[in-house]
Amino acid sequence: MKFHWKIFWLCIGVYVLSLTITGVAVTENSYRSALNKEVERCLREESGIQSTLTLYLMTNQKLSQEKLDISSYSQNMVDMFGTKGAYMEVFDEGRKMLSSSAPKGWKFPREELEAALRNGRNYILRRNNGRHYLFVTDLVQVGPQRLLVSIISDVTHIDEQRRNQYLFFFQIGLAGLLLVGLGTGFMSKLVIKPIEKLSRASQHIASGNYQERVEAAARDEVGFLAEQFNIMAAEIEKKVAALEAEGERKQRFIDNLTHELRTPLTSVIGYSDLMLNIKYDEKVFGEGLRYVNSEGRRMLKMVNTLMDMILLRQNAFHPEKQRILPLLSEVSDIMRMKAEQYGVILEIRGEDFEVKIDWDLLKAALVNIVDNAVNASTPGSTVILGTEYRAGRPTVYIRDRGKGMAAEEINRVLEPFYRVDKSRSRKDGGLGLGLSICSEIVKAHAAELQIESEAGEGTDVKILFETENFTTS
Amino acid sequence: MEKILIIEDEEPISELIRLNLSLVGFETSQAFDGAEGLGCIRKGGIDLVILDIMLPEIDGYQLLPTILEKKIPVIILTAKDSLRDKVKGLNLGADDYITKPFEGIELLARVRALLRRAGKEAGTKGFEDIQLFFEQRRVFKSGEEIELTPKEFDLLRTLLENKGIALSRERLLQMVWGYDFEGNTRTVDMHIQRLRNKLKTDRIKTVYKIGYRLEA
Repeated sequence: MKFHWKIFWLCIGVYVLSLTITGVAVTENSYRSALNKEVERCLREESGIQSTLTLYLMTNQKLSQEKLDISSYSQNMVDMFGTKGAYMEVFDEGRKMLSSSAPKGWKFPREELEAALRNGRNYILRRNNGRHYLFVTDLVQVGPQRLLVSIISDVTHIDEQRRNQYLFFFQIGLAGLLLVGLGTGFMSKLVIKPIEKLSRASQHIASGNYQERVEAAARDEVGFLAEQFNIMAAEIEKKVAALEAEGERKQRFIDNLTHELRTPLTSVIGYSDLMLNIKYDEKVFGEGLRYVNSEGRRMLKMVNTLMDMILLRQNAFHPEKQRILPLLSEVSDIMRMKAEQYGVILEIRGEDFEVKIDWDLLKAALVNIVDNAVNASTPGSTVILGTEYRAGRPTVYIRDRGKGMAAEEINRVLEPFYRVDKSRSRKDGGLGLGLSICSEIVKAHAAELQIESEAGEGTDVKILFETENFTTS
Repeated sequence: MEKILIIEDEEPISELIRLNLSLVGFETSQAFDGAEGLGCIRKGGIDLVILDIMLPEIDGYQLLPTILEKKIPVIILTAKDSLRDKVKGLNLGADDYITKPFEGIELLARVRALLRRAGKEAGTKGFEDIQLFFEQRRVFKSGEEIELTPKEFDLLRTLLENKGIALSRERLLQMVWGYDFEGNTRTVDMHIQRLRNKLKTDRIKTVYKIGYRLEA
């Protein structure tokens, strides 16, 4: 069952139940009090009749000298009593009926007569043929003689009153029900609406539309839920985006690796195929064999480099506390030849500090970075190998005033096989793995590699070490 | 003679393609990056382009429209064999694609098929004093017509089109008789024998452990 139907039926249920209880309580209460009033009225009437009767009988007894036969007067008494909708019955002491104005054929066990003989006046309510009667019975004493007088009043109109009241409640209730039904139907829709919105939004998100959000206008539980939901959706969106980026990066790595493997394989297979199928020709065979050899070596180099990367990840790493400036001068010495060829000046700047490093690995990384810097530099410009403190962290930087890179390239230079300048790098025998290995080496040092670059402005590569791994000197 | 432009930045591969093409008698020219390739196309006289996608300077996708404008058929050469790249290349109007690593014979077959479709194929080819006319399917030796069965003609043509390259019996069977032919390699031997007799030539060589080769 839908939630708004649940609300609807619950409201209707509560309404019907409360109206019924109220209706029954009110009606029954007013019925009882009306009945009590009627009884009181009848009792009052009866005591009037009783005294009148007593007086009448006593007067008649005094007038007649002889003993009065009360029983013969009974008919007169009944005749005297002529109220509409009420009857009178007169009994003697032996509960024998003397006279009656009640309809013939009434057959009631008259136990109240006996009670009246013993205790005087009493009353009892009886139903017969759908009508309601009140029997008030009293004892009339005239001299030694006693008579029983029953006044029987029809009180059916009180029952009718009750029925009418029930009918009235029912009609009013029905009209109210209509109102309540419309009202709760509307209200439940109103309450459900934000929840439905939320549910639609979550459906959208589940189907992959992670940008979906809900408006969280109301400051109630649903509004709070919507807020939390949005926070969750944002979190999911972020996570999914990160996963997608990671997946794309992996896919690119695989694509690149396939490409890098297929290119030399194409040569190896192509040339060997050709040599197998053509007539021997010294020039063609010589050229072909040279290519098979060089491309085979290129593949070996690539496999070795990739293995190095994997081994580096598996901690072939032995750090020791070392001074940083001697390392920079060693790197500078290694690169001096090439720099001179390119007409680039290498300069060392900054103060010395000690840091825990794997000398050979970090040297390899720095050589690689300086090599890139020299390649990018224009003749006559300077490449700086420097140290400094960045946000309190000891930092090594390599800064050139060369070509620089576009923003989208910076994000990708650390990816394996990525080349900024594809043709030159290939001809140099580069694999496009340099900076990814540098990045792995830097990670192994628990340091951070930052690259800042602008096309035409130059590049600034920084290695930020962890503070606890170093001491100033 | 048909002239084919190879735009490929990997020197070994460019050279490999050149060797394969010139062996069977195509004229070739080479460009090693996109810009150079563009220059060659602008110069004209190119019948077909073999185009690498990952090129420095201007990549293959960018070059495609210029080449197609000149109504030159293009075979895309790519190491990316993902469906997406192939579809992209073909959508951009490339006529065919071939993935690295590729077989020389496969490349030649595609080049020829494409030239034929573009109507740029030479109508006749020959060796020694023997001349084949493809359209009419007739063969002349020193001006005298030689009667060949259709299969003999196809076999001779295949050998001629892959001149200098040894073709295995299985491959010949596949190239001449088709994939669903149920004969065995003896069929090839029989036809070769008949060709040698009819043409009275010793240029159709048996290559030990491989197959046959027409030597020019």
